[in-house]
Amino acid sequence: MSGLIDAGYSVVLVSVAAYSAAVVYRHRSLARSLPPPTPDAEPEEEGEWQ
Amino acid sequence: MIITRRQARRPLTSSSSRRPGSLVRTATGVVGLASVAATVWLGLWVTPPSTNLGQLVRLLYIHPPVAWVAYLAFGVTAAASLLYLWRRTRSVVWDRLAAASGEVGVLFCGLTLVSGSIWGKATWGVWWTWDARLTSTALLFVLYLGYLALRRVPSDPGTRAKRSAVAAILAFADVPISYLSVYWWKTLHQTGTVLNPQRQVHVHGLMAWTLLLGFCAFTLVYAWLVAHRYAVEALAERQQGEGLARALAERRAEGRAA
Repeated sequence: MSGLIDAGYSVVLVSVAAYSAAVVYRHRSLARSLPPPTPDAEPEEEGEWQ
Repeated sequence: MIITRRQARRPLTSSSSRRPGSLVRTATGVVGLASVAATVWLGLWVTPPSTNLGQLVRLLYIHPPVAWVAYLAFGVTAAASLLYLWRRTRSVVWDRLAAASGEVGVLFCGLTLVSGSIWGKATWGVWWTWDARLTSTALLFVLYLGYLALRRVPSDPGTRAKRSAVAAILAFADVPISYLSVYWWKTLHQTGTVLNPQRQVHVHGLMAWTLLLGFCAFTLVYAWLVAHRYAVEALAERQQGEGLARALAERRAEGRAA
């Protein structure tokens, strides 16, 4: 019984941690690969797909 | 505008880390992580066993919060899709938010199925049964997997955003069906412990507070993940745009040389 409870907690926590690490790694690697924006440039937030 | 060599070497993460949005994101992540740790501590070691479920009640502190986040994520995806489709509010912001929330929602929906299956094995003796709640949740998982697959079909960004938005709204129709299935049909799955039409809370005291903390903790983790996933979406678009501009410039240079 306690094995199933531990399994439930482990699956949830390990999956969320692994996905979080993957997303943060992708975010940082993408940010590093792109040239820095000019200091006065605002991040592109608005607009419409053409 | 002059950019110093030090500024040019600095990655985007550090230049953006001073923005208020980035501080909020970091704070959300830290508080979310601490809340999840507190939920696990209270859920596994502090709260008492239940008179009906015994030690199994400990799964209550993670399974309903994870399911709630899946519903919330798909709700945000559907709302953002609706805002994208409506001409007056159309913006790439909504398309990115729908994509980010949809992906996080699929993760939490998958975890709902797995943690529910573990609970099912302990209470019903089977890992899976074609119960209305289980089946409608599995359908929800498959529908939003399809939504993520549709987003990857190559096409121009505008068309992709519009058809994905329509798919997200149609898929969301299964969320109320899944939630209300335990009231509409006779199911093995129990009715809502806290969120039920009768507004009768079936847990009290420390157990209720731990469950509430679980809801808040996983909601904060969801918000933090969506914020990061949104940033990934925006940066990937920028990288794609810059790659296209570079390819065009190379092609023009080749044309001039010839």
